[in-house]
Amino acid sequence: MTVMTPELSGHQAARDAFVEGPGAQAPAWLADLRQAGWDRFQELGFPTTDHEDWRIADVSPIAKTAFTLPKSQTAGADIGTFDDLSGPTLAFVDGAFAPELSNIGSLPKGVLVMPLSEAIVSHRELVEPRLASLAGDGEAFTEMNTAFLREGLFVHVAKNVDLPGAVQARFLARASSDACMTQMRSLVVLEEGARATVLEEFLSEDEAGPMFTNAVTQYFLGANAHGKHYLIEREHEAAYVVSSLYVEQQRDTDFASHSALLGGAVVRNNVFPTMRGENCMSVVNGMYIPHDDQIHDNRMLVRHTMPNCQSRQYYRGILSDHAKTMFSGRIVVDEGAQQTDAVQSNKNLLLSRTCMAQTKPQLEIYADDVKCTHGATTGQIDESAIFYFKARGIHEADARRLLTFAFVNEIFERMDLEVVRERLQGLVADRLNQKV
Amino acid sequence: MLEIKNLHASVEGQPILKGIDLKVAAGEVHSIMGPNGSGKSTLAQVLAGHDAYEVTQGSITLDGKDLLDMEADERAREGMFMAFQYPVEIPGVSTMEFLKTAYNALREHRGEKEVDALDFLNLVKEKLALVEMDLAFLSRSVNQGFSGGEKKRHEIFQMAVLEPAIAILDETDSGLDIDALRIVSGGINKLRNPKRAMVVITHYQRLLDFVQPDFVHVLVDGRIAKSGGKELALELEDKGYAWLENAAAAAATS
Ligand SMILES: Nc1ncnc2c1ncn2[C@@H]1O[C@H](COP(=O)(O)OP(=O)(O)OP(=O)(O)O)[C@@H](O)[C@H]1O
Ligand SMILES: [Mg+2]
Repeated sequence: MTVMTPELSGHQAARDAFVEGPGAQAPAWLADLRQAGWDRFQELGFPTTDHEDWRIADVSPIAKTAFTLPKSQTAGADIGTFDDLSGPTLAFVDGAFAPELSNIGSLPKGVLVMPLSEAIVSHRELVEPRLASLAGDGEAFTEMNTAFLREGLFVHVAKNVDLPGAVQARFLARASSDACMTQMRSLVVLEEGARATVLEEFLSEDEAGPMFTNAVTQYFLGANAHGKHYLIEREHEAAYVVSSLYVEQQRDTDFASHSALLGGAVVRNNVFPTMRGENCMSVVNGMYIPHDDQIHDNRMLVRHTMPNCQSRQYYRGILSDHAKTMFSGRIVVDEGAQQTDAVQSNKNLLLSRTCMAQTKPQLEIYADDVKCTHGATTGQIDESAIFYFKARGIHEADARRLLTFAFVNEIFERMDLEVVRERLQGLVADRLNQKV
Repeated sequence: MLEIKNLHASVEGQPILKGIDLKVAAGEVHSIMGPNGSGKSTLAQVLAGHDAYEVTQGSITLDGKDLLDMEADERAREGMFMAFQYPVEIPGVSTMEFLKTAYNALREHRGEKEVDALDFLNLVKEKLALVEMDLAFLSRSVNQGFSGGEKKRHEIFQMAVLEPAIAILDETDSGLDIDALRIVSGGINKLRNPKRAMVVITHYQRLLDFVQPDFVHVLVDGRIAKSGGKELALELEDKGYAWLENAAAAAATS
């Protein structure tokens, strides 16, 4: 697809506006990186539902809508209250860093936390090679993100430094009568033996029209590092969202991704961890609770390139109304990656007859001494469990509520930030209480 | 207290209970025995209000109230308790949360306010001791990963907390080792009182050595084929069920 489609020409205007506006005055290396991203995006074009990986997440509305860049006004923006955790908090409003809503505070020695736009200027050596490393990975939305690369969260933790609490970043989209898009790029770098947790949350003001969020996060773990990432998606239900988490793990690293999808019209959540050294552990844990006509599409690509690594994918969905979901879990075990131990589990609970959940495990195994297991279930609430509750005097409605909520309990249990977990439990309960 | 009259029930159109009459007064312990598949669990499930079983004839009243008019949860709040032959595993719901919800539903039914968390913890600790269960069970998911014996003890523990007016215990003794049997039957005996009735479904005399019934009934092919005192159980231990089954078959064809 080398010819520019009419769809793309719509975004050309946004791209031109970006180059002349917020993207102007970029260092040459960045301008080149963006241009290369734009060129590749044009070659790839928007994926259509004919494409195997995009059958459920119909992104044609993104292609057809002439999204513009938001005005980025922070006055009066309400990003809510950050969770009560030690660590810096950063707010981004309509794609721009909002210092007055942020509190980076004093950081331990060896820790850098700042908006990416600042790091691009002050820490080019840390930023440039990593931003460039995604070039040509074949994901159209990632290339598009590179074309608009300018802002996001930047975290760097030096060797053996432990950053307590979590770095919290909130990305707020304001209500706008224009169809606005934001393209955030976050970069988290943990050097050898470092430890940190990063929470990224996407939220919006009340729905005013379609919007498009295309976020890419890159997470690098040096040898022996321990990293965690939380994603909370709760933008309004006319939002088209693509969020991609790329993780690079060196030897002896421990990584966990936790995600909770509640918002969006169509959400594509990509989680792509690659284990590049031996003895890594990679946990991908998440839940999606779509209702109405929401579409939540989770795609995992877990790569084992070296021996003795373990990966765990645990995703659970609770669907109601006309929701549609996909869980596509790909595990690639390279030829040399012996003693790989990979587990994948996807379970779906259907609360209506009109919702639809699909699971697609894909195992590509090129080593002979590996253990890979996968399992998927889709079903309704267990009526024998309902009877057990009722036989103890519990009202049926309460029984259904408890059992529905219990379905995602094990996903919550893996989330070790208690305040985040409890807040999320509240959000999920609010959603489910209207459905059972 | 409990009065069952001419009870007929079927599952998926298949008649299982074919005319049961039983009166259980407060303070009494009745034992129901009978061959596999004779309908003992069906009777228990029908009493508890499982909606897979259709009552086609007859009546069930508890203290004069029509149980057939009530859903399972309402019956439980009115004082009906059934210890399951196969307790259901509920992943993701802690035993504590489950029990507290049940306890509060009962209190609400009686017009009482929600139980104070500390009071409830103390109550639960006291009842756990009754069946020699560890506090750690309360933070585990309901029945999940419990051993067979632990599940049965857990049922008795729930009965101890909920203090029902009438308890139907469906093979609470099966799958128990000797020590667990002693613990479970000890628990049952401690819960015996002049106001509470119990119906104990079992295959084994060994339980009845511990929990001495006032009456024993033998269920054969959906009917009570014989009733008697606790000596009937000993007779069954000796002779088996064949003589009653033959008699029942003869009665059914006559
Ligand atoms: N839900 C059901 N669906 C179909 N058949 C059922 C169902 N429940 C019970 N039955 C049938 O009803 C009959 C009586 O079963 P029930 O479980 O009541 O026997 P029981 O006396 O408790 O036996 P056991 O001593 O083996 O526990 C059996 O033939 C059984 O297969
Ligand atoms: Mg039975």
